[in-house]
Amino acid sequence: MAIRHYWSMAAAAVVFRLVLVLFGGDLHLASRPEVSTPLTSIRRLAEGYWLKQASMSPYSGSMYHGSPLLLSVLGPLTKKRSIGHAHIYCSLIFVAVDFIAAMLIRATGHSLQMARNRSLKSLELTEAVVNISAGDIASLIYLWNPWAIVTCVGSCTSPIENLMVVIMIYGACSRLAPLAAFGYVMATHLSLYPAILIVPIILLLGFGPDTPPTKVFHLKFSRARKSDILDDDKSTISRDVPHFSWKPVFHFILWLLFWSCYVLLLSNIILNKVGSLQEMFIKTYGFVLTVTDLSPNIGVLWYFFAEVFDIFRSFFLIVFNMNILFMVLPLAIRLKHRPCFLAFVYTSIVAMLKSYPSVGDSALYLGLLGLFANELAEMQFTFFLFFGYIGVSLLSPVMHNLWIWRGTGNANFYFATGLAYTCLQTVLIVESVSSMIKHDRKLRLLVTP
Amino acid sequence: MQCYRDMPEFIAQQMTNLGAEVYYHEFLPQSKHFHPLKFFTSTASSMAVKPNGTYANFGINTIGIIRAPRGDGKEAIVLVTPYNSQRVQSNELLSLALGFSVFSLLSRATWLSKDIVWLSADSQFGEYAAVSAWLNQYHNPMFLSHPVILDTKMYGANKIIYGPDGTTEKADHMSFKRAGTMAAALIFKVGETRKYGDRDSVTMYAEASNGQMPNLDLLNVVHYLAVHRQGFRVNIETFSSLLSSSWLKVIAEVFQNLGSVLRKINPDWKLDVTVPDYVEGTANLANSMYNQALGVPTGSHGAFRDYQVDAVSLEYSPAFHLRNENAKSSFLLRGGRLTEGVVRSVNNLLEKFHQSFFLYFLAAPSKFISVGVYMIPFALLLAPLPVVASALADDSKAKGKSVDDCKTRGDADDLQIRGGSWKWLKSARVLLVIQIWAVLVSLLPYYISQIPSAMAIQYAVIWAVLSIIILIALYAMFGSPYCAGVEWKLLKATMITSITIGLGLMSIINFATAQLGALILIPMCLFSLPLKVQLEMKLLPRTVLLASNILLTVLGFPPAAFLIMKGLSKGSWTLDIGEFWSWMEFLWEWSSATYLYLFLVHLPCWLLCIHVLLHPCHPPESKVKQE
Repeated sequence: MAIRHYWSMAAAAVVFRLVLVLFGGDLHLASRPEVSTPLTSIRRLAEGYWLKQASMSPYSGSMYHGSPLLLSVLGPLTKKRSIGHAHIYCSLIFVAVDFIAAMLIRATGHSLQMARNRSLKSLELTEAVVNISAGDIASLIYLWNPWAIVTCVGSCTSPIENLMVVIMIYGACSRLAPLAAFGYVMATHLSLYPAILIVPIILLLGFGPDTPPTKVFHLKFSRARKSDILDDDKSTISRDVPHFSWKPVFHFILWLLFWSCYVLLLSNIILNKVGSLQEMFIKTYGFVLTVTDLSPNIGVLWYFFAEVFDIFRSFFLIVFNMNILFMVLPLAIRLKHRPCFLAFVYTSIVAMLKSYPSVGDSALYLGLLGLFANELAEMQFTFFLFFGYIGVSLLSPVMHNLWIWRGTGNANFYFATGLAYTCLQTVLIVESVSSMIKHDRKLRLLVTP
Repeated sequence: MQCYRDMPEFIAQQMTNLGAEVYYHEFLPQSKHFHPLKFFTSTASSMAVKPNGTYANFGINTIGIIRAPRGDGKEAIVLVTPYNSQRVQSNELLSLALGFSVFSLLSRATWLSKDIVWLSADSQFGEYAAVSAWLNQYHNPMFLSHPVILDTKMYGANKIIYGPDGTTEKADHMSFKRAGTMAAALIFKVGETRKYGDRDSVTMYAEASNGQMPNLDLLNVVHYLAVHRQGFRVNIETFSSLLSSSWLKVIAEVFQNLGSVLRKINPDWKLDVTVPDYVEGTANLANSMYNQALGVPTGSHGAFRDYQVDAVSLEYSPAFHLRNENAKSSFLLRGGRLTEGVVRSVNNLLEKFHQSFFLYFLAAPSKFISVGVYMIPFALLLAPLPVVASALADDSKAKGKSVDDCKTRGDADDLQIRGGSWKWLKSARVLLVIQIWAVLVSLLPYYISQIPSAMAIQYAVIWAVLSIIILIALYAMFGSPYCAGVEWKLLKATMITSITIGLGLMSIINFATAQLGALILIPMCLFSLPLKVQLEMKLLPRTVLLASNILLTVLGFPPAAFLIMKGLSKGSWTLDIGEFWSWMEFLWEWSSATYLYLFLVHLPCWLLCIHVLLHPCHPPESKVKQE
């Protein structure tokens, strides 16, 4: 069952973005700390492009920290400035990028749905098959998410990063190793953190899209054997138990190497004579990992590293960066049968703990959350989470205003909203994982009445 | 004619004689625009002036700067004396004289470590316009994008001022000079009316836009010096109608008696307040809250606060006749000493006043209610809301679940989205539609006010009609709230959560508005119960509930509340919708957040409350029965 008026709603979202871009006037979104980070700000990109045009390294000074590829793609567009809106051409590109990402999310949702229905049928749980199209829901969430809209209109490069992550997941879901590898390499190149998504990608390519746990299939299989069903039935069930196939993974790794070399080569060509790859790594990955820019954002690291004593700085840098890595393995073990969901969990953890988070990252994982609308139907605290997100996103600019413009508040006010936001994200992750596990348990109970 | 054109030149001449740097600042009155969000996007570029070139008239501020002998020119103190250059009154002359005498004293002072800027503001378009135009140019250097206007108009003006021979002087006097960051600003003027009394009195005005106050330390300095050193009587604005109200006196007496009884029990409890103190404190406090809640500055000090400069206006009300020369010179002495004292106090500050003393209400010139005190009752008022909301949401969910359980126990379709935990999405949709409506309604005046030459009442009627049409259109597009079968409990939970967020936000932006709004909104929301459900109750609670519902719903509707407030304060109960329009116009011209609050928090909540009250209650239940 597809959603009624899907295409009109999607078109309305695109039109809404276009209206905001073309007629919205200067909303100053590009200068909001919630929207643009040092990594994604288009103003810094314009500065980097200017430096490069002046035959200087785009990384000289501490302005630009993005990829050289973006410089050559978006850079020429930043020069054409029109009155009213500073970077109108970039914004138009981002509108298209958002739309493509939403379409890819939709396609991912469809393939997930097919895989789900197939495995439920093989488990003879036909009544559990629901026909709500999660892909449609997810893509609409992504298109109509106010944060995605704000990021798109505010001309940050995060829509491109999001698109790369979505391309990677889509490619892996439809077992297109070259596409998945391209998305992976580009996403990692642009913002480093998607590197940990290699675990779900390999699982996706090896096992295929999300299924109920293998244990459920084995239970079903043993029951079927007990109740003495014909041989061909057995074989169908055993065929549906996912097996790890090495071939696509091998392809993926080959393509990964190819694309990495290609991207590095391109960067080298672009930076030819004005900079070097080593400088690029220091100014992009090094900048991300060492949290050198302490200007306020919606995360929690800027405040912490502004306060911490210098002697402890490197220790806490290791701790905070390891924090993300610590969660990779346990989650992978627990959710290995649902690699797509695992990718969602990783994305949301990264959006919470990365050094320069913005609402664009949250827009991505909230969109991906829609893919699991069927599985997460019984999720707890959704009312609280929904209004919490609304409250925080309204509170954050007010607190910023109080601190920066009125002078009647201080940094703690703004940081408090950052903390509240992080707490909300934590609750969202915990609740979604636990309700997914509950869902799996319910499936097992349904198989063994 | 000759007199008022000469005035700036005369002042400039006097300033030059004192050895100060002098320049003129010319400005055009800013036409009033619909910009309710300005307080929020107060970045430099959005504050840049766009002078309206159609005015033949312009104002001229005369500014003198004394460079501090012991300073580095990084900080400055601003003195402002407003006067109307078109029609100079004797009281304004006196305030200019006061300004001049202070300025001449300070020009000889060796202890100055901050520059002194004396701005004699031309208040023919209002004090605020003059001061804010000057401040705007001070902080946002204009890289003139309107050279035509300036060349034609201002050049012509210069000729009027200086005549043909002043060309070299003109170039010097026209360049805009600055004197570092402003540490504080003091606006003083002599009031027109003579107040009979034993002492001259000073009225302090401090409320800036959106309930922002200058640092309390500045007020304390002024109050201390005025009362204890110079013997002025210091007042703040007050509601004089409250001073004579009898019911307040009754309450005051009750408190006094209670306090004295408590004192007898334990002499350490100093809780007794005398009746006049209590009445006066209440009247002052009410006025302080009212001015903050309105969000409109009470004087030109408001312009300073927009740039985070502490400023206070002092209006002297002399007890003598303005022709009495002896009294005048003694007044100049004491007023000058007061100003000098304040300047000395600020002069010696090494840093800004501490940031924690910005949030307070004034109950008397020397008494205040701090944020730590007034937040507690507000938080207590707000505390039940999340509890009730979660109880309602949880209750509705539990009910839905139990119905499911008894019906489909053991069935496999537990996996279906039967809305156990996502059922609130429908009510969130209703909220969304109503919020869209509220945004549209709040933006309508921008377009309506473009209609030329209409009466206020016509504007108001167009506004009301358009709002209703938009509401109907939105319901036609997205479906009316009752069609979708939204449960009233969830609707109420959504309403309560949304006003929790709204009031919480507003309490940060402008506390007084949130406090006054909460007094109406919170009971209105908590008492709201569908009329159909009320029918099942007993008679007595039903009537009480119904009466309170009707009363609160009427009070909660902004135009009705406005009418009642006007009736109570002025005693005139004539129904005039046009007045509501002009009231709202007043709010958005001053970019008051109260306007946004009224239309983005208050009005949607009121509409949701109406929806809850009129909820049919039946459709979902009948659906369950059918199944």
